[in-house]
Amino acid sequence: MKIRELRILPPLAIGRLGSSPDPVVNYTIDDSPDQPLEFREIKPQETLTVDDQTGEISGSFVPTEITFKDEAQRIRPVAPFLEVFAVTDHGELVPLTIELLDKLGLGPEAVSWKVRVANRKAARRTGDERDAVTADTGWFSHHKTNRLEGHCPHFVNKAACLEFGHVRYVRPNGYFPQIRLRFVPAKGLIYGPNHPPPPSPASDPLMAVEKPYEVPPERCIYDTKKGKWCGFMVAAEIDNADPDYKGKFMNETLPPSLFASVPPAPPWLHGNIAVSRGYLDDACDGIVEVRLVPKKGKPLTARARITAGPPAVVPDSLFLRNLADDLDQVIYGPGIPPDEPEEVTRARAIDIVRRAFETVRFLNVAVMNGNPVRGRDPLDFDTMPAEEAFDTQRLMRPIVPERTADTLAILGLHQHVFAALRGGAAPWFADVLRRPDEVADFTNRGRRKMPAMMCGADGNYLALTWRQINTIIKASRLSLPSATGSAAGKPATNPPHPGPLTPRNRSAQLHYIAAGSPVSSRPVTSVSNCTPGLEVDFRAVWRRVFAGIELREWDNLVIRMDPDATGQKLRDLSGHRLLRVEGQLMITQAIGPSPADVDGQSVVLSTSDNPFGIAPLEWSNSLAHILHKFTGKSVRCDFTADPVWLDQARWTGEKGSYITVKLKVRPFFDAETAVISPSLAQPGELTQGLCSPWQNDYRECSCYYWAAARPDYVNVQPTPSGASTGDNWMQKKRTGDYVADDYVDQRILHYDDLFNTWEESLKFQVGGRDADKTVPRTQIAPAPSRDTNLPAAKPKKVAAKRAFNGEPKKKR
Amino acid sequence: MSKYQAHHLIHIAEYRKSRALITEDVRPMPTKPEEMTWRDYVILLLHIGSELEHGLMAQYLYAAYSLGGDHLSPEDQAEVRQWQDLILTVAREEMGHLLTVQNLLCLLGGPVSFNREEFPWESPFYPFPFRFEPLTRKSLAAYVFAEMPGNFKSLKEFYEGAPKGSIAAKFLSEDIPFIERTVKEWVEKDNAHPVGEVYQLIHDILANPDLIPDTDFRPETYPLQASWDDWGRGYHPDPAPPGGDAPKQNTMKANIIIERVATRTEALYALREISGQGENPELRPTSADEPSHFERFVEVLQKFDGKVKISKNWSPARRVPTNPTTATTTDPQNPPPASRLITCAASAKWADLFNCRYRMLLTYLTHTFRLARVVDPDEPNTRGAMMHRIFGEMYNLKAISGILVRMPLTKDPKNPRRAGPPFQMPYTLVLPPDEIDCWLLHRDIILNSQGLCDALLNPDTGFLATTPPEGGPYLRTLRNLDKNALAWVDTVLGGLREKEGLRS
Repeated sequence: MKIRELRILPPLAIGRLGSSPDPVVNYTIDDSPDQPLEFREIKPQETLTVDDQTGEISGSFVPTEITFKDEAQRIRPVAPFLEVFAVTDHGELVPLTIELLDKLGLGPEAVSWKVRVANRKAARRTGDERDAVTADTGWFSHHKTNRLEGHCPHFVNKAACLEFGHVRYVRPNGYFPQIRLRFVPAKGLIYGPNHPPPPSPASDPLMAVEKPYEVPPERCIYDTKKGKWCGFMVAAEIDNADPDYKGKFMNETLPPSLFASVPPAPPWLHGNIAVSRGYLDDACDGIVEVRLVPKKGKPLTARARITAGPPAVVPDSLFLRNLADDLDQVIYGPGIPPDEPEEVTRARAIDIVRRAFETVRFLNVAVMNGNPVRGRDPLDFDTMPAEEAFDTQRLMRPIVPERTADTLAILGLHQHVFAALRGGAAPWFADVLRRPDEVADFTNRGRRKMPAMMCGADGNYLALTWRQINTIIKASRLSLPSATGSAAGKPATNPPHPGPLTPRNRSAQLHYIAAGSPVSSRPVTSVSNCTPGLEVDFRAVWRRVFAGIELREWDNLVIRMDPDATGQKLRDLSGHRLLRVEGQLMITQAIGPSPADVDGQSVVLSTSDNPFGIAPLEWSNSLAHILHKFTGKSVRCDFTADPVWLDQARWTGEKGSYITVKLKVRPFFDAETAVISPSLAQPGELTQGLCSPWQNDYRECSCYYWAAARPDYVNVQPTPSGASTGDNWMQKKRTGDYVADDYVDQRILHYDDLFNTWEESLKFQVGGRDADKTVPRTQIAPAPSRDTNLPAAKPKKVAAKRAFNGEPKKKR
Repeated sequence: MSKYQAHHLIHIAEYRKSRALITEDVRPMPTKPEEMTWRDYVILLLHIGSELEHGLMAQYLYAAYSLGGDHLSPEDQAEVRQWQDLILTVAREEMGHLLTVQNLLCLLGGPVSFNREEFPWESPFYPFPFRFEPLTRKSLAAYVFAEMPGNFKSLKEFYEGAPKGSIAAKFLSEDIPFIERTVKEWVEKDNAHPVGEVYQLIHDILANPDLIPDTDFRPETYPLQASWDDWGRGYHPDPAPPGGDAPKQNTMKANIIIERVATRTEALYALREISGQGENPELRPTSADEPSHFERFVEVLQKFDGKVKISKNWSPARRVPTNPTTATTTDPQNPPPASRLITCAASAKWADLFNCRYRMLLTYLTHTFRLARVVDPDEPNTRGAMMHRIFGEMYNLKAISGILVRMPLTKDPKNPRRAGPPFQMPYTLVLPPDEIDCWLLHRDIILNSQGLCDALLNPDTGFLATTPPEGGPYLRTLRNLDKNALAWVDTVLGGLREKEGLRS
């Protein structure tokens, strides 16, 4: 047998930060057949113990409980494994093991690894590449811990480093023979400047912080004389929003100023002034490479991506639109093939509804709807209707009638839908799903579409992926199943299984579950399509999708040209705006109700800054059809005729108002793998738009960005009034009396509370209640098969493994 | 229809005849039973309207749920699925009419009513015997007739001269004679009439201040009435795009009309709206692009005709019975005439579950109108939560119907006939006078449902073996829903009891 290619699976592994020396044990989540509406059951899984001395797996065990924090209240990091697979000359995808290497006359030392990760958050804001913190292990074949030391030209000296965690080439042995690497992310520490930042011009003694965070001296490594990150601010004289402003363009993120700023904060409540404290976090993303040098022939290589982000604080729920949904849309395209088995479409539709109610139950629906909170003006609270009111400069309106907005009531309604679908009913609600080009429809009809009350990547109301929407539409047209079961005679799995693991099945590779890796390391647990996101900023992937230009991650502005990408001379499109691709608009128009006829007539929601109410659309959905049809081909792109750096531009179709340029659509994935192509995003670019430090995001981004990942409403229960009560997740003391998210309310965790004690303050939610650990509801299952498509382990081997392991050892 | 005396009804037919004889600018004077005031009489008529809307809605739902089956080709299944959607949109719109009638009752200070007679039911208002039956050409003809504007004569005049080969010409030459024949089969006398007549009479009585003075109206009930905001759930035309162009109508989508009424003008407008959408387009105030119920049914009828021309015995429906019933609610030895007993034990249990959830829905619905008077109408509370539960129960009826129409009707496993949702009315919809007792009633109904779910899931009964594969997962989910609902009801009850205790 020959090896033609290598793969690293999974192609994207998510590490999660935590300072406990012991990573969280392996677990998965599953529906409970008898309690299908309850939270998913957290099930312990076979956990691999990596011996600290030897670097090999010394044994495995199935834990009896999962603890997300250790006794010292330190959060256990999520440390995923990445496994190497070989594509054989028979076209199979098989684990690369020492036996296989042996057949080729090779040993484990023939395999070497290289890991490059970066944190580019400061560089994204300052525009200075020397603010990027990068770590590169170089090629290594040993099995020792390999620290990911992040260096930066603007650090105080060359020795100063920010630790992104470590990686380790796990030494294979007879019992665990596969070639694999483990990524253990960092502790979640905050690094800072060697000198304090200047005071904010908006400084207000009344807003002084009681216990300001102080970066420990050993982590004060950013040299304020070399770089401008500390004290960075969008200068007052730069005002991109001013239509008459002709000065320097400032490439802000969306939302702008997402970084720890000198009090007072948040900036939008203090004159839009944000002075950076110069903080850096130890989150990162990057690329893992593996190389196998055969005795003859060229070395074989493969890549995967890793990222490190905040903990999955709601381990038993999945967000309505997660990263896997968007990646699956890239793999399969936005449509549903007509020949897809009906039971597969049905199962996926049911899974979407399930995740909808899992998301709703962490939203305080009454508050998020824009209801007054105990007589207080709803505009005082951070919600989508309030954001809409600010953006469109219109009066705030609740989304649905106030009397119908309650979490338990809406949750129950979603659960009834779920029940009916499980009973075989076809979805009847396709009409009320928000289309991705309707996200700026602020009429009552538009705002009430589903999903409601949440924000999408373009800052408007969240839409599902086209593929999710088309799943519901297709399911809605299906007849009742045959009385004897599905056409294939098999019930569909839920969520549907991505199919057999083969070299060409990208979805199976994407969803591959590496041995020992908890579910929280997989894309299904990562929020997607958000502003900006938590684990990755998925908007960043699309910036270089057209060879030759670089777009801004959150709108249609061409930031710069990339002349090397095409080999042909393109005219300079910097500052132009991409309006259409192959005739498809990349923008929409914000509309709202006419004050004179609220339900019957809509009007353009123009403002002085945006007279035509133009709203750019998020890339993942607006380019889904283009990517599916034209990858590797040239497409007609219509840009504004002139640079429009600061304003949104509308499409009129008038001659002379636009120019058409043909640009090639880059492949999304690296060759035939499911790895996001490095030509689309280099290390650090998938996280560069996220908050710096990420803890800041938990304060500034309310739950309407990612309700099931950053919960809002917890410990929820009914009251005699018929409505619900509960706690705000960010509430310092649990009283059962919801404290609305108000930046000046001392009862809510503030920025410095999180910087100081984020591990203690952020409470995990198990079953909708504060809980740092869980005991499985059912008897512990035996060690599961890791992938049903892989050959089953031989009984003899299992017995040997047990003998080798003896008693379960302390995990690492 | 025992509760309405014959002479209550004669006036409707008389009024219709008198209207037919006069010119448009002369309004005939309605007549009324001597022992009733005009206000009393119009409330009675609204109760009749409510029953008709409820009956039509249930009948259309039954017809829609009967559609489909493995006997159809994949192409026919797809087409019939569209018919099903179309009929369901009409049923949803009837729900809106039903709520608007309740709003009119509120305005006149009458009791709301979601009651209706048990099926089969013959009513002098009804163009054909009221019964649940699978969709056939004949039943479809009845629905076209029920929703028909004017009468056969006026329709013929309207469509005369339609171009050859057009839908209208086909309707004139083929459909009208067929519908006429069908209706005559059911109604021997020549007094068959569409449903809209009741609304015509109500409209004309309300329009006359001499009959119903302004002082009879209760405008203060406006905030307590059902609103589109609460009940419409997106079934509404999109607002016109900027620039004022008319909104694009989606003919497959229901446009639910729920009018709240505070004045005579609004009451008349509401009657015209619901009549225009369905039963009496003559009354419609504005010309809308939205197809009426009549037009929608004609569309299905013509497509049905096309299928039958290709294959004479073609049927879009499963072999479900007419007027299915269960042993628990009727005497098994003596079921009502023209009804069919579900004798398969598993199917009968599912049918009981259906009736239980139907009762739950109607009880919640009745209760929301009372709750509007005892809780803050603007705050999230029991009323808002109950509205969501009503929608939830509609989804349950849909799911259980989908299961029932695939289950055997009889004990004989070889018998290809299938069961169907019985839509049997509970023994009463009258709520207890005390709020606590209303919640105890909800509790009882939930417990009844739990018991039925347990029985169906019990492996000893073997019921699941006869049930489609989705049945088990559905029942477990329903049981879970009921567990949560019970916790909610108990919390509300706890609060009411505490209040009672404090009061005493």
